[in-house]
Amino acid sequence: MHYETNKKIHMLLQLNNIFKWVQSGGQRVFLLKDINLSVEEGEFISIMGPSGSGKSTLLNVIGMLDGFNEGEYNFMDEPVHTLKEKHRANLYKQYIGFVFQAYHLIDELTVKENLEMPLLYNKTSSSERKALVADSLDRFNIVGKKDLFPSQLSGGQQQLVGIARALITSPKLILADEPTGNLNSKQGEEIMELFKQLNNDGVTIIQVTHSEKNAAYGSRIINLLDGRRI
Amino acid sequence: MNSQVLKTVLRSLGGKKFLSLTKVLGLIVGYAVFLFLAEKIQFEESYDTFWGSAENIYRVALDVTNKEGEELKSAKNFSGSSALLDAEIHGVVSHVNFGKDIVTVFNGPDQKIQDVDFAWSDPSFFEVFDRKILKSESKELLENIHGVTISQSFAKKLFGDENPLGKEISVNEGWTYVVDAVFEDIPAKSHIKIDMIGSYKTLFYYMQNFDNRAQVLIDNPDYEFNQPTPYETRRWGAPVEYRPYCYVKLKKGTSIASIKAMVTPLLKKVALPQNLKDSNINFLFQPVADIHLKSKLEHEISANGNEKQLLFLYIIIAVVLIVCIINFINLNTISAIESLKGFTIRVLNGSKHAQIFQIMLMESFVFNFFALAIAIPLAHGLVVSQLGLSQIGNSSLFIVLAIAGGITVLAAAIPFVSIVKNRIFGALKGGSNSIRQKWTGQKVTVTLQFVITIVLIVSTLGIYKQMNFMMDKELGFNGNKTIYSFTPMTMNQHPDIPNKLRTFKNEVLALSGVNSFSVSSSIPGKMPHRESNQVKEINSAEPYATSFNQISVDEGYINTYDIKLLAGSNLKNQSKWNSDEVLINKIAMEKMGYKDPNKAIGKVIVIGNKNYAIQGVMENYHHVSLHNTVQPTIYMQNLQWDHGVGYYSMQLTSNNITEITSQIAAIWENLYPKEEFIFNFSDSTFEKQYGRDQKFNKTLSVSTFLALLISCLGLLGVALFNTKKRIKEIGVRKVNGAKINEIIVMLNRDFIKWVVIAYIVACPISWYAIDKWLENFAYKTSISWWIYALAGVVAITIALLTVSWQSFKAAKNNPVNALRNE
Ligand SMILES: Nc1ncnc2c1ncn2[C@@H]1O[C@H](COP(=O)(O)OP(=O)(O)OP(=O)(O)O)[C@@H](O)[C@H]1O
Ligand SMILES: [Mg+2]
Repeated sequence: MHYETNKKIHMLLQLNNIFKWVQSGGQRVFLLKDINLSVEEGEFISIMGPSGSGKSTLLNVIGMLDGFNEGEYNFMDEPVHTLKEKHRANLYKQYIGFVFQAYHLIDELTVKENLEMPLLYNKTSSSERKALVADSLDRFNIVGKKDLFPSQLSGGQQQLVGIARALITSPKLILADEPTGNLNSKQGEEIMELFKQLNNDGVTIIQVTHSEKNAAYGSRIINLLDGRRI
Repeated sequence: MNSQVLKTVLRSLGGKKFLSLTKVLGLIVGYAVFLFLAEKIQFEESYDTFWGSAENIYRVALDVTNKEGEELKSAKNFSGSSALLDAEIHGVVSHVNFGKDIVTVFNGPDQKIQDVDFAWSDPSFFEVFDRKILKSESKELLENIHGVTISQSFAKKLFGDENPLGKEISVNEGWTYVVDAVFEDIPAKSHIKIDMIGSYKTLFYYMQNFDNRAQVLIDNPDYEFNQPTPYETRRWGAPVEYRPYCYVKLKKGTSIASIKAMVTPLLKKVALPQNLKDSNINFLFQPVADIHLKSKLEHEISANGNEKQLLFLYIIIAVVLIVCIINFINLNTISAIESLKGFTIRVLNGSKHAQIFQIMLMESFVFNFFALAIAIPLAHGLVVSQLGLSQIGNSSLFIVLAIAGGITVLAAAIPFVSIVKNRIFGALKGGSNSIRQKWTGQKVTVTLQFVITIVLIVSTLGIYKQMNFMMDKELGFNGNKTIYSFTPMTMNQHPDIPNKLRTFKNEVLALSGVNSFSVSSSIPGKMPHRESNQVKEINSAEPYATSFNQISVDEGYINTYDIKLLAGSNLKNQSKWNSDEVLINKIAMEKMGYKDPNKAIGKVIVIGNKNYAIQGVMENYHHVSLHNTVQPTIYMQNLQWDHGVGYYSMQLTSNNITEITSQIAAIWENLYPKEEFIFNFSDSTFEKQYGRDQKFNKTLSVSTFLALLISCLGLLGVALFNTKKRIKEIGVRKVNGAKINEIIVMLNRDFIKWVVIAYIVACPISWYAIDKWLENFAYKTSISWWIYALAGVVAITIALLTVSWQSFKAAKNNPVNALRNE
């Protein structure tokens, strides 16, 4: 396994007084208001809240895909709010993996190629790529599917590939936006079990979910309403 | 079609603004180019078709081979020719001759109009060429011995709105006429250009009765004009300068072959002069409507058109239209794919397939309609400004409407059948992969467009290189400080030509800015008109196998044009311009069988029955354009006054051109009063030989540009579609660590691949095209690799610029937007 359990507690990221807004009709519309959040390595956090409450927005901010307007964000002691775009991109490329509700696999690529894609972008050597992809196929039990296209897989299998792809660069943090939203309950349960196991292996996970049951897999729940923590 | 269909269409166009703009631009260019070129082709092809019963009007041209074997094919003929046919052959309704002149017209002391097209002719002109007589003093046209007939537009130019009848005007040497009648203008689409007609009767009367010294006409009331009959020697003796253009009009249904067969027996009835009796005479009957495109004789009235060039115009029309149609259908397919979701929802809600097709048809129609609405006025402007027509012809409009109709249906039907029908079922059945295949189809069409475009780019560069090659090539003579003029017209009737010429020469050479002077029958840049295949060595019975050009020159020729002498010496300066010495060029020397120029010196050759001694051998220089090889030529010191002395050339040393030419003009006007000194630079005249090539080059460059433009629009449309389709993928890749430049490279790589394939296909095609075109030239540039390299770089750069803008926009996009769930 790639992940060693680290008994010593480390702070992974910290949000201090984060505000995010958009300008609409000459008026500020707040998407996030005064968010404070500390996440330690090895945590499994679930974000909950009604539709439109800002869950995805918060996840994107944490994932550095989206910016914010006020406040501070430290990720592994790096002040994200002062970093240049390029540096920020390197940071998430190295430490964060994303899992989406709609899987977002590339239709034109096979399972194997989909897994390989992030490695191409972080300049992993060809032999190492092969090894990592083989490992991953093995670990997630999808060796038999490696040459199929996404459209030939079930939703659960696609999400499995999505998670495998998110993990292939050995990130410290997995951000999952409603990873089971498109799955039936049995498939959803399997994904959650997988997350649990990954977490046990030391990966930090933040997931957005609507389901109490799924939220219970986590160690902590954060509730949002109208962009605010409650 | 109901109003909802139209509304839907207009809304959907609004939603795809950029794609719509791309589509409509391509169509506008295509239709405008089509209309303009179609008009141009029609313009060229419809020369002289407007005359009443044009199919029965023939020009009687002359094909005569004398006993020395010199053949002359001339647009001019003896004045007896058409008259003889008219008199003897029942099928000939009427005939007319005219002699063409360019004159300066004076209307009182204040108004002077130069370069007026004048013709000496007969009243029967209007029997053959049916122009309406708009105003006339008397019933009998050209009856008044002082009268001339002028064209409507020329009357307007001279007298504005005043009544031109009875007005006095004078011409060149001071001959004064009264305007007798006004005729309807001859359209520009004619090989004949005449604004003023005087009768031969008037010509002979003035020649007899005009006192040159006093510059007045002494009227002679007893004068009677007796035109000799076509059987008399006088009608068959004129040197080529004085021969007219001869036309006959045949009775409907008369076969031209039967008339041709009668020429030889008829000529037996004529008292031909001795030189013609010894010659072989043929008449060439040219249908008047064929003259502009097909006639390539000596002494044409003006430079004619060119059938080959017309063929190129056809090809260009086809190419631009094909590029355009492909582009539109291609973009329309993309637009249909974009509308697919909407169509599917319609079908789910009970819409029939026919109704979907209706929407697509309507959309296609709106585009074509809109494009035509812009292209027609655009082409109209071009046709008016470039061709001088008043409007676009109905037939061109009709054809373009038919094409637009065809494209409307095709551009709706092809995407409907190939994509929409299948994909709607596919969508209902739950997904398919067909979009991937169709996608290849789009790229193939764009590739095809680029093949055409690259062929055009390579051809343009190749032609450009050849033009440069011709401009830079060492021609073997130097014309950049040499000016020339035609020999003075006024000398035509005067016996003192040699005396005046000598005076002119001496006075000009006395000027400090003039280096040398030459009189010759031809100059570099002008076709020599005489040729003989009966030249022989004095001791040989048989003539040389080669035909030799002959040019009459004086001793000043090689100095005036800086032509190098390889051996022997220049012609001697002698007073009569007539000696038995000749110069030959190097190729002539080789054809005569000498390897060493020195060996040829002093050898005697026989031309006709006169002996000539070879005085010198000159380097081969290019007397005419590089379309032709250097011809073996004999330069004879025998100015044949009746054969057209031709040109006065002067090499200048002074840098002050204005001053020196005004000094020369003063000498000229003193000797040849009433005639203006008009001069040209020899090198620019030489370059004028390439005018047609340059024009072709221009047409090709413009077409290349347009094809490139349309191809880029096509590419842009496909790029737009491509990035739109891949927007999610781009987002996923970015989230997984792809950088902006990596995304751009990924998006562009595909397109570049297709342009490269187009390039590989285009290279051999364009090589063939240039090779064909270069066959027109005896001296050709090599088609070097850099032309291909440059064309490739240009195509790829332009394709990259076109695509990169789209790619960059897509790559910059925040993946959060792309991946947000719908
Ligand atoms: N770029 C943006 N501009 C304007 N409004 C935005 C933007 N991004 C998000 N919003 C709005 O912000 C609010 C929060 O959106 P967000 O996607 O974070 O909600 P969510 O909690 O994830 O909802 P759901 O459970 O439906 O996914 C919504 O009202 C959304 O419309
Ligand atoms: Mg959300």
